[in-house]
Amino acid sequence: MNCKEINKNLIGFIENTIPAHVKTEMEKHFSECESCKMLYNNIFATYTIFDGQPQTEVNPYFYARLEQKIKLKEQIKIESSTNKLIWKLQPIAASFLIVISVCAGILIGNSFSGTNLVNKNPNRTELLEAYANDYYLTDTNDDNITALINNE
Amino acid sequence: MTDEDLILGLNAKDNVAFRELVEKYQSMVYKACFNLIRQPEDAEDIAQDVFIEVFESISQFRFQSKLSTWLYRIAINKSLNHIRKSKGKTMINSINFFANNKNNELEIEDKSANNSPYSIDYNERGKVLQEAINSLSENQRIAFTLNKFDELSYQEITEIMNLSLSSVESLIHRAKINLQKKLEAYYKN
Repeated sequence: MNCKEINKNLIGFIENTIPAHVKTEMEKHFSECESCKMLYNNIFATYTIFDGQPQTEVNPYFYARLEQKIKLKEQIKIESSTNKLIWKLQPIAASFLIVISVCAGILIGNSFSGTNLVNKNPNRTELLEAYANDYYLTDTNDDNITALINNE
Repeated sequence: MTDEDLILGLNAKDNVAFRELVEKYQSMVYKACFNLIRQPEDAEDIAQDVFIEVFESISQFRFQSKLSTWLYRIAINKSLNHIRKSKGKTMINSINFFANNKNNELEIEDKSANNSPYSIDYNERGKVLQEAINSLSENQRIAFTLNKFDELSYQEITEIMNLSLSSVESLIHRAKINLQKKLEAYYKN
Protein backbone atom coordinates (compact mmCIF):
# COMPACT_ATOMS: atom_id res chain seq x y z
CA MET A 1 0.00 0.00 0.00
CA ASN A 2 1.30 3.46 -0.82
CA CYS A 3 1.09 6.53 1.39
CA LYS A 4 -2.05 7.83 -0.30
CA GLU A 5 -3.94 4.60 0.30
CA ILE A 6 -2.68 4.44 3.87
CA ASN A 7 -3.85 7.99 4.61
CA LYS A 8 -7.36 7.21 3.40
CA ASN A 9 -7.82 4.70 6.18
CA LEU A 10 -6.37 6.53 9.17
CA ILE A 11 -9.64 7.03 11.06
CA GLY A 12 -10.68 3.47 10.26
CA PHE A 13 -7.34 2.34 11.73
CA ILE A 14 -7.91 4.46 14.85
CA GLU A 15 -11.43 3.06 15.33
CA ASN A 16 -10.40 -0.44 14.34
CA THR A 17 -13.12 -0.65 11.70
CA ILE A 18 -10.90 -1.77 8.84
CA PRO A 19 -10.32 -5.38 7.77
CA ALA A 20 -7.52 -7.18 9.58
CA HIS A 21 -5.30 -7.53 6.50
CA VAL A 22 -5.52 -3.79 5.81
CA LYS A 23 -4.63 -3.07 9.42
CA THR A 24 -1.58 -5.35 9.17
CA GLU A 25 -0.41 -3.60 6.01
CA MET A 26 -0.82 -0.23 7.58
CA GLU A 27 1.16 -1.21 10.66
CA LYS A 28 3.93 -2.45 8.41
CA HIS A 29 3.86 0.81 6.45
CA PHE A 30 4.07 2.91 9.60
CA SER A 31 7.17 1.00 10.65
CA GLU A 32 8.80 1.94 7.34
CA CYS A 33 7.43 5.41 6.58
CA GLU A 34 8.24 8.11 9.14
CA SER A 35 6.04 10.82 7.64
CA CYS A 36 2.95 8.60 7.54
CA LYS A 37 3.64 7.50 11.08
CA MET A 38 3.90 11.12 12.23
CA LEU A 39 0.72 12.05 10.40
CA TYR A 40 -1.06 9.11 12.00
CA ASN A 41 0.15 10.10 15.47
CA ASN A 42 -1.08 13.65 15.03
CA ILE A 43 -4.45 12.61 13.68
CA PHE A 44 -4.83 10.01 16.41
CA ALA A 45 -4.02 12.54 19.15
CA THR A 46 -6.47 15.06 17.69
CA TYR A 47 -9.32 12.70 16.80
CA THR A 48 -9.32 11.20 20.30
CA ILE A 49 -8.73 14.50 22.15
CA PHE A 50 -12.16 14.52 23.78
CA ASP A 51 -12.24 10.79 24.50
CA GLY A 52 -11.87 9.81 28.11
CA GLN A 53 -12.09 13.38 29.36
CA PRO A 54 -14.24 13.80 32.46
CA GLN A 55 -17.78 14.49 31.42
CA THR A 56 -18.91 17.97 32.18
CA GLU A 57 -21.33 17.76 35.06
CA VAL A 58 -24.67 19.48 34.99
CA ASN A 59 -24.79 22.47 37.33
CA PRO A 60 -26.25 21.31 40.68
CA TYR A 61 -28.50 24.38 40.63
CA PHE A 62 -29.84 23.52 37.17
CA TYR A 63 -33.40 22.90 38.34
CA ALA A 64 -33.47 25.96 40.61
CA ARG A 65 -32.30 28.17 37.74
CA LEU A 66 -34.81 26.55 35.40
CA GLU A 67 -37.62 27.26 37.86
CA GLN A 68 -36.55 30.90 38.09
CA LYS A 69 -36.42 31.18 34.32
CA ILE A 70 -39.95 29.80 33.98
CA LYS A 71 -41.29 32.19 36.64
CA LEU A 72 -39.58 35.14 34.96
CA LYS A 73 -41.01 34.12 31.61
CA GLU A 74 -44.53 33.95 33.05
CA GLN A 75 -44.08 37.33 34.69
CA ILE A 76 -42.95 38.86 31.42
CA LYS A 77 -45.94 37.30 29.68
CA ILE A 78 -48.38 38.87 32.18
CA GLU A 79 -46.66 42.28 31.96
CA SER A 80 -46.63 42.09 28.20
CA SER A 81 -50.38 41.39 27.97
CA THR A 82 -51.06 44.22 30.47
CA ASN A 83 -48.92 46.57 28.40
CA LYS A 84 -50.74 45.51 25.23
CA LEU A 85 -54.09 46.28 26.88
CA ILE A 86 -52.86 49.68 28.05
CA TRP A 87 -51.48 50.36 24.59
CA LYS A 88 -54.88 49.60 23.00
CA LEU A 89 -56.80 51.72 25.55
CA GLN A 90 -54.51 54.74 25.24
CA PRO A 91 -56.10 56.29 22.11
CA ILE A 92 -59.58 55.83 23.59
CA ALA A 93 -58.51 57.44 26.88
CA ALA A 94 -56.79 60.29 25.04
CA SER A 95 -59.89 60.98 22.91
CA PHE A 96 -62.08 60.92 26.00
CA LEU A 97 -59.84 63.41 27.78
CA ILE A 98 -59.83 65.74 24.78
CA VAL A 99 -63.64 65.71 24.59
CA ILE A 100 -63.96 66.35 28.33
CA SER A 101 -61.42 69.19 28.11
CA VAL A 102 -63.23 70.86 25.22
CA CYS A 103 -66.61 70.59 26.97
CA ALA A 104 -65.15 71.95 30.18
CA GLY A 105 -63.55 74.78 28.30
CA ILE A 106 -66.84 75.70 26.65
CA LEU A 107 -68.68 75.61 29.96
CA ILE A 108 -66.05 77.70 31.70
CA GLY A 109 -65.91 80.11 28.85
CA ASN A 110 -69.68 80.56 28.86
CA SER A 111 -69.88 81.08 32.60
CA PHE A 112 -67.24 83.88 32.55
CA SER A 113 -68.52 85.70 29.45
CA GLY A 114 -68.94 89.60 29.89
CA THR A 115 -72.33 89.81 28.12
CA ASN A 116 -73.81 87.36 30.48
CA LEU A 117 -72.49 89.16 33.50
CA VAL A 118 -73.79 92.54 32.49
CA ASN A 119 -77.12 91.22 31.28
CA LYS A 120 -77.64 89.47 34.53
CA ASN A 121 -76.88 92.63 36.51
CA PRO A 122 -80.09 94.51 37.28
CA ASN A 123 -78.28 97.70 38.24
CA ARG A 124 -76.76 98.33 34.93
CA THR A 125 -77.17 102.06 34.90
CA GLU A 126 -75.82 102.42 38.42
CA LEU A 127 -72.75 100.44 37.41
CA LEU A 128 -72.07 102.68 34.47
CA GLU A 129 -72.57 105.77 36.61
CA ALA A 130 -70.08 104.42 39.07
CA TYR A 131 -67.72 103.70 36.21
CA ALA A 132 -68.09 107.19 34.86
CA ASN A 133 -67.55 108.75 38.29
CA ASP A 134 -64.40 106.69 38.72
CA TYR A 135 -63.01 108.30 35.59
CA TYR A 136 -64.00 111.82 36.74
CA LEU A 137 -66.70 112.36 34.21
CA THR A 138 -68.22 115.58 35.57
CA ASP A 139 -70.90 115.70 33.06
CA THR A 140 -73.65 113.75 34.69
CA ASN A 141 -75.96 114.49 31.90
CA ASP A 142 -78.27 111.62 31.17
CA ASP A 143 -77.45 111.86 27.49
CA ASN A 144 -73.84 110.98 28.15
CA ILE A 145 -74.80 108.06 30.28
CA THR A 146 -77.18 106.86 27.59
CA ALA A 147 -74.39 107.20 25.02
CA LEU A 148 -72.09 105.17 27.21
CA ILE A 149 -74.71 102.46 27.51
CA ASN A 150 -75.32 102.43 23.78
CA ASN A 151 -71.61 102.33 22.93
CA GLU A 152 -70.96 99.39 25.13
CA MET B 1 -42.37 7.44 37.53
CA THR B 2 -42.47 6.01 34.02
CA ASP B 3 -42.29 8.28 31.02
CA GLU B 4 -46.05 7.87 30.51
CA ASP B 5 -46.70 8.96 34.10
CA LEU B 6 -44.38 11.92 33.67
CA ILE B 7 -46.20 13.01 30.53
CA LEU B 8 -49.60 12.66 32.19
CA GLY B 9 -48.28 14.70 35.10
CA LEU B 10 -46.92 17.39 32.80
CA ASN B 11 -50.22 17.60 30.96
CA ALA B 12 -51.84 18.22 34.33
CA LYS B 13 -49.18 20.91 35.01
CA ASP B 14 -47.90 18.88 37.96
CA ASN B 15 -44.67 20.47 39.23
CA VAL B 16 -43.52 17.25 40.89
CA ALA B 17 -43.71 15.41 37.56
CA PHE B 18 -41.82 18.24 35.87
CA ARG B 19 -39.08 18.15 38.47
CA GLU B 20 -38.73 14.42 38.12
CA LEU B 21 -38.55 14.73 34.33
CA VAL B 22 -35.81 17.33 34.60
CA GLU B 23 -33.79 15.29 37.08
CA LYS B 24 -34.15 12.17 34.94
CA TYR B 25 -33.09 13.77 31.66
CA GLN B 26 -31.01 16.84 32.51
CA SER B 27 -27.65 15.09 32.03
CA MET B 28 -28.68 13.60 28.72
CA VAL B 29 -30.03 16.89 27.37
CA TYR B 30 -27.10 18.93 28.64
CA LYS B 31 -24.59 16.49 27.18
CA ALA B 32 -26.34 16.53 23.79
CA CYS B 33 -26.26 20.34 23.72
CA PHE B 34 -22.68 20.54 24.96
CA ASN B 35 -21.38 18.00 22.45
CA LEU B 36 -22.75 20.11 19.61
CA ILE B 37 -21.76 23.57 20.77
CA ARG B 38 -18.88 22.90 23.22
CA GLN B 39 -19.67 25.91 25.41
CA PRO B 40 -20.74 24.99 28.96
CA GLU B 41 -22.73 28.12 29.85
CA ASP B 42 -24.55 28.24 26.52
CA ALA B 43 -25.20 24.50 26.69
CA GLU B 44 -26.83 24.97 30.10
CA ASP B 45 -29.02 27.81 28.80
CA ILE B 46 -30.09 25.77 25.81
CA ALA B 47 -30.77 22.70 27.97
CA GLN B 48 -33.04 24.82 30.16
CA ASP B 49 -34.83 26.13 27.07
CA VAL B 50 -35.40 22.51 26.01
CA PHE B 51 -37.23 21.77 29.25
CA ILE B 52 -39.22 24.99 29.03
CA GLU B 53 -40.36 24.00 25.56
CA VAL B 54 -41.28 20.53 26.82
CA PHE B 55 -43.27 22.11 29.67
CA GLU B 56 -45.12 24.43 27.28
CA SER B 57 -45.79 22.01 24.46
CA ILE B 58 -46.19 18.63 26.17
CA SER B 59 -49.73 18.42 24.80
CA GLN B 60 -48.22 18.06 21.32
CA PHE B 61 -46.35 14.86 22.26
CA ARG B 62 -48.16 11.98 20.60
CA PHE B 63 -46.24 8.94 21.90
CA GLN B 64 -45.08 8.24 18.34
CA SER B 65 -41.52 8.07 19.64
CA LYS B 66 -39.81 7.72 22.99
CA LEU B 67 -39.71 10.73 25.28
CA SER B 68 -35.90 10.68 25.14
CA THR B 69 -36.00 10.79 21.33
CA TRP B 70 -38.28 13.84 21.46
CA LEU B 71 -35.95 15.53 23.96
CA TYR B 72 -32.95 14.84 21.73
CA ARG B 73 -34.73 16.37 18.74
CA ILE B 74 -35.59 19.55 20.62
CA ALA B 75 -32.04 19.74 22.02
CA ILE B 76 -30.48 19.33 18.58
CA ASN B 77 -32.78 21.92 16.98
CA LYS B 78 -32.11 24.48 19.67
CA SER B 79 -28.36 23.81 19.57
CA LEU B 80 -28.27 24.19 15.79
CA ASN B 81 -30.24 27.45 16.03
CA HIS B 82 -27.68 28.68 18.52
CA ILE B 83 -24.81 27.68 16.21
CA ARG B 84 -26.43 29.44 13.25
CA LYS B 85 -26.90 32.61 15.28
CA SER B 86 -23.37 32.65 16.59
CA LYS B 87 -21.55 31.51 13.45
CA GLY B 88 -18.08 32.91 13.30
CA LYS B 89 -17.46 32.77 17.02
CA THR B 90 -14.49 30.64 17.88
CA MET B 91 -14.73 27.70 20.22
CA ILE B 92 -11.74 28.79 22.25
CA ASN B 93 -13.85 29.35 25.35
CA SER B 94 -14.84 25.72 25.46
CA ILE B 95 -11.28 24.55 25.04
CA ASN B 96 -10.17 26.83 27.84
CA PHE B 97 -12.92 25.36 29.95
CA PHE B 98 -11.26 21.99 29.75
CA ALA B 99 -7.84 23.50 30.36
CA ASN B 100 -9.08 25.21 33.50
CA ASN B 101 -11.05 22.28 34.84
CA LYS B 102 -10.01 21.72 38.44
CA ASN B 103 -10.68 18.01 38.38
CA ASN B 104 -8.32 16.30 40.82
CA GLU B 105 -7.56 13.41 38.50
CA LEU B 106 -6.24 15.76 35.87
CA GLU B 107 -4.06 17.70 38.32
CA ILE B 108 -2.12 14.56 39.12
CA GLU B 109 -1.13 14.17 35.48
CA ASP B 110 2.15 15.51 34.15
CA LYS B 111 1.32 18.96 32.91
CA SER B 112 3.92 18.76 30.19
CA ALA B 113 2.20 15.78 28.57
CA ASN B 114 0.84 16.58 25.13
CA ASN B 115 -2.65 15.51 25.95
CA SER B 116 -2.85 17.26 29.31
CA PRO B 117 -5.67 19.78 29.41
CA TYR B 118 -3.13 22.31 30.62
CA SER B 119 -0.87 22.09 27.57
CA ILE B 120 -1.00 24.40 24.61
CA ASP B 121 -0.91 21.34 22.42
CA TYR B 122 -4.16 20.11 23.98
CA ASN B 123 -5.87 23.42 23.33
CA GLU B 124 -4.66 23.49 19.78
CA ARG B 125 -5.74 19.94 19.01
CA GLY B 126 -9.14 20.48 20.56
CA LYS B 127 -9.61 23.62 18.50
CA VAL B 128 -8.52 21.82 15.33
CA LEU B 129 -10.94 18.96 15.90
CA GLN B 130 -13.84 21.23 16.79
CA GLU B 131 -13.29 23.41 13.75
CA ALA B 132 -13.14 20.33 11.56
CA ILE B 133 -16.44 19.12 13.03
CA ASN B 134 -17.95 22.60 12.57
CA SER B 135 -17.07 22.48 8.88
CA LEU B 136 -19.24 19.41 8.30
CA SER B 137 -22.74 19.75 6.91
CA GLU B 138 -25.43 19.95 9.58
CA ASN B 139 -26.67 16.42 9.15
CA GLN B 140 -23.18 14.96 9.09
CA ARG B 141 -22.30 16.96 12.19
CA ILE B 142 -25.41 15.80 14.08
CA ALA B 143 -25.02 12.14 13.12
CA PHE B 144 -21.29 12.10 13.86
CA THR B 145 -21.64 13.91 17.20
CA LEU B 146 -24.50 11.71 18.39
CA ASN B 147 -22.52 8.60 17.48
CA LYS B 148 -19.07 9.61 18.72
CA PHE B 149 -19.75 11.82 21.74
CA ASP B 150 -23.27 10.87 22.84
CA GLU B 151 -22.41 7.23 22.09
CA LEU B 152 -25.76 6.51 20.48
CA SER B 153 -26.25 3.54 18.20
CA TYR B 154 -27.07 4.01 14.53
CA GLN B 155 -30.60 2.78 15.24
CA GLU B 156 -31.13 5.40 17.96
CA ILE B 157 -29.81 8.07 15.63
CA THR B 158 -32.28 7.04 12.90
CA GLU B 159 -35.14 7.63 15.35
CA ILE B 160 -33.86 11.03 16.40
CA MET B 161 -33.05 12.27 12.91
CA ASN B 162 -36.01 10.54 11.30
CA LEU B 163 -33.78 8.99 8.64
CA SER B 164 -33.22 5.49 7.38
CA LEU B 165 -30.41 3.36 8.74
CA SER B 166 -28.53 3.51 5.45
CA SER B 167 -28.78 7.31 5.44
CA VAL B 168 -27.32 7.53 8.93
CA GLU B 169 -24.52 5.12 8.04
CA SER B 170 -23.75 7.15 4.96
CA LEU B 171 -23.77 10.43 6.90
CA ILE B 172 -21.35 9.14 9.53
CA HIS B 173 -19.09 7.54 6.93
CA ARG B 174 -18.89 10.76 4.92
CA ALA B 175 -18.38 12.79 8.09
CA LYS B 176 -15.34 10.70 8.98
CA ILE B 177 -13.90 10.96 5.48
CA ASN B 178 -14.32 14.74 5.53
CA LEU B 179 -12.83 15.00 9.01
CA GLN B 180 -9.86 12.94 7.95
CA LYS B 181 -9.29 15.20 4.94
CA LYS B 182 -9.44 18.30 7.14
CA LEU B 183 -7.03 16.89 9.71
CA GLU B 184 -4.69 15.58 7.06
CA ALA B 185 -4.62 18.98 5.33
CA TYR B 186 -3.93 20.69 8.65
CA TYR B 187 -1.04 18.47 9.66
CA LYS B 188 0.54 18.19 6.25
CA ASN B 189 0.66 21.97 6.01
